[in-house]
Amino acid sequence: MKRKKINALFVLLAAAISLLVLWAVQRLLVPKYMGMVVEGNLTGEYYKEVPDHDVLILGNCEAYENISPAVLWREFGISSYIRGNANQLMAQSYYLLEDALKYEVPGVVVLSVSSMTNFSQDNESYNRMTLDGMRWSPSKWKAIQATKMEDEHVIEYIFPLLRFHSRWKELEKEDFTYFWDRGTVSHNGYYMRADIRPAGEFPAARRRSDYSFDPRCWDYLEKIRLLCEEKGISLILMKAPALYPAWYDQWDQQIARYAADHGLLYINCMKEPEAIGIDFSHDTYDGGIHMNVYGAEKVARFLGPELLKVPGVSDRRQEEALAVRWEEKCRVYDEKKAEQEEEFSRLGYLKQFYQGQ
Amino acid sequence: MALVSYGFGFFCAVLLLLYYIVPGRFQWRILLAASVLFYGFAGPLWILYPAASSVSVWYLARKIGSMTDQYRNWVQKDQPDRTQKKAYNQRLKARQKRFLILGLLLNFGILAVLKYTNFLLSNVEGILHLAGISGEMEYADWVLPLGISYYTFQSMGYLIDVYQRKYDPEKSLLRTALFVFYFPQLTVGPISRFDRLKEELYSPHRFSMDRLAAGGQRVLWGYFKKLVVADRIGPAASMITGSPEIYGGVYALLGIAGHVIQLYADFSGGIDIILGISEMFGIHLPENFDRPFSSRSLAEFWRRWHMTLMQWFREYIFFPVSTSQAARKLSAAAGRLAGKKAAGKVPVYLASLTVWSVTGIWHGASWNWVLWGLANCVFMLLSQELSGLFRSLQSRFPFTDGRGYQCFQKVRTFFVFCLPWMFIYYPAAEVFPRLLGILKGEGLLSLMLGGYGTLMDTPDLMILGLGILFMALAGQICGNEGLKERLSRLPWPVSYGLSFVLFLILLVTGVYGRGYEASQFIYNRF
Repeated sequence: MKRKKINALFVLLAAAISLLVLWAVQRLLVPKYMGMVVEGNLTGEYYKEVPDHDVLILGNCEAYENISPAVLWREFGISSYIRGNANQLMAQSYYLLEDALKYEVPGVVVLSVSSMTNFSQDNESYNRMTLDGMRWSPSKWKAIQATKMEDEHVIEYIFPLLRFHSRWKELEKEDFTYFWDRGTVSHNGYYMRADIRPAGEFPAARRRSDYSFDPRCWDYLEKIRLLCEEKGISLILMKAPALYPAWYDQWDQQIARYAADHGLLYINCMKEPEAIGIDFSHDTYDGGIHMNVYGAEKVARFLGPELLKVPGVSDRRQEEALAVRWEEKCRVYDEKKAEQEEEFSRLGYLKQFYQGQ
Repeated sequence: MALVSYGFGFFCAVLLLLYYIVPGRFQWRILLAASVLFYGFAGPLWILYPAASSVSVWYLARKIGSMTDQYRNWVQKDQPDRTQKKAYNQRLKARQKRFLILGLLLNFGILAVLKYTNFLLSNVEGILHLAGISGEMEYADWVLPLGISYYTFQSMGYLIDVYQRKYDPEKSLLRTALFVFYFPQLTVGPISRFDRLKEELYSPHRFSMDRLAAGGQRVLWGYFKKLVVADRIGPAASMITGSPEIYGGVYALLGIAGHVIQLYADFSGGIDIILGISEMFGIHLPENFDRPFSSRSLAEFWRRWHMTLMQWFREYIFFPVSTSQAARKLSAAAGRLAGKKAAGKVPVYLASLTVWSVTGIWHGASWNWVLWGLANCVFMLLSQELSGLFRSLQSRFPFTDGRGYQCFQKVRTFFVFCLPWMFIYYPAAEVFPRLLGILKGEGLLSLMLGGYGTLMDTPDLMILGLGILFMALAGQICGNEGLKERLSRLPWPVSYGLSFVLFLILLVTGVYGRGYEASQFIYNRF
């Protein structure tokens, strides 16, 4: 009997050690996204937050690079969070919203509509960056099923080691440095860039034979609208300022019609450059594709008053506990901004984001 | 369903669970259903091919068997004398032979039509061109059903055995179907014999943790060979043989050696997986490899490589051909012309040439494969003819008894085995210039100065080297005993620890998943 017990203990010990080793190997091999590409951390950082946001911003790079939540708080007292990622698809935005609603119900959801332009993913790494950080739940499962590429397997999301095992050849110092903790790379989901690269010339927008959006994108837009309606959330559709890729008038009209049909607010920042005060020779870090921190702050200043008009959104700067939290966030934001500004004025570029320099 | 796929792992896990949950008497039925399902994954209509084979073999074997039973009953009842028995038997054999030939024609016919039609058409086209008749043949674009060569050879072996009264035929159609369809061996073999398999295939098996662990270890080892070694060396070897203008001289030998290592790791790895999975179900399939690279001659090598196919050829082609009337006539003619010694050799030569031509054409429908088979045959017959000379030379040099010489023989055998593969990886006309390039040592300097670096990056090269070393050491350490037996003798924590380390190496350094081409097993194509 005693021998049996000892044997059972050994079996349990062997199983525990095996699982521990597998966990450690997986943790070592999965990308840490702490170098040039940090977007892989954005989705997961949401769960570190106290879920108390009045505004949730969803979408692709036009969401997480173009609006500064720190300014929304500091100047309007709006507590906001961006659940956005690189090339985040409409389906992924829907499931990220479904996921977020388990923790909080914001007053407003701002949805970046530029992701209406493509339903399927063109690069698996975008899927990984968006989905890997999601906590396991039916929403994550459905998000994977809805957006995985043809040669992707769910099991590789369950055990990321199966996907990233070949990284053993390219392990870097950051894989060991950030083994336990990766810190926080975003500012409430906002990706900060304080470098400046004035807008350049882009090829003229090519005419298309068909300007209609994929029906599946419409489906997910409708799902987002219905979910917001069900939860009493106001939905705002937004097109961020960007010179490239082109946002055709035909697309704009379709979104405007949809918004009008359903009584939604649609803000196309491309039509309001003067009101926003965007200066494409200063407010972009990549020649006009994305805003830098100066552009994002201007967009936030433009959006703030619009958001405050919506029921359920108010100036909450008087709430002590929230104010304390945001004070700390703003401090980190200011520090990071100053750090990047100093580096940019000294070097002319930001080391973290430029390979080989 | 590919053996290297998550789906296959899931399929086996669910099947194992089901297999040990159901009562023992249903286990073989579960296996049959799963095997048909497995085959259906390749294409639902393809099930018809092994189904046709199962039905025809079951019916014909029963027919032949019932005639044998009639004969036995008659002998028991009427107690005839020797002459009567002989006469009856001759008549019976002739009738049974008709059914046997029908079975052989039907089953080998399907295989021949599907596999060799285009080969035949290309030859006809060539002959017509030679005769000055121009025109393009329309080639068939048929896809070979999964494992057709394996199940056809296996079921034909069964039919011949029943005809030869080695054992009684199986009465149940479904049981016969399981013998044909049994899913593990459909992909890369081995070719089993009914009398050795039937006991375990149809009898109930109780769950055994030891058996599961042993099978699992074997599966792990198979995947290690396939994913760490074969799929890593394959692209580099293909790069060499696919770009002869860049990689000439000794690189050609390196490329062929790479392909041979790939082939071994791939094929024997596949067999390890199959045998391991089958063992988990309590069914032991025959071994297909016995450390072939320890062989000191090519003949020995081929006795240890793809053993079940070579046994099949020996039993069903070599012996019948060497004892056939044609062989006897040729032998007698040779005896008249060149004496008794030559008469004795003719049947062996004839049977060997037949076996190796068939071995070549079995591997691939082209003359290059026939040349490959014949080159092997010539090497072996030459070695046999010169064995007396070698023995006398060896007796004069005492060092030939030592380990060093044995090692030399093994290396020599490896390269002799490599050479015929030149016919497969290079056009026949290029083989001799390439051999000359190797003999001249062209490209040796570039190779020694690190030219191999263009084929593979350093970490991969290191893993490959370690993987090959690991395979060689495992063979050396375990000897005839086999890895499984060796591991089972160790205390379980050590055995488990070693298996876990192997699993970890496989998991991390295996060539699988995104970023790598999903590759099928090479012997999957037969």
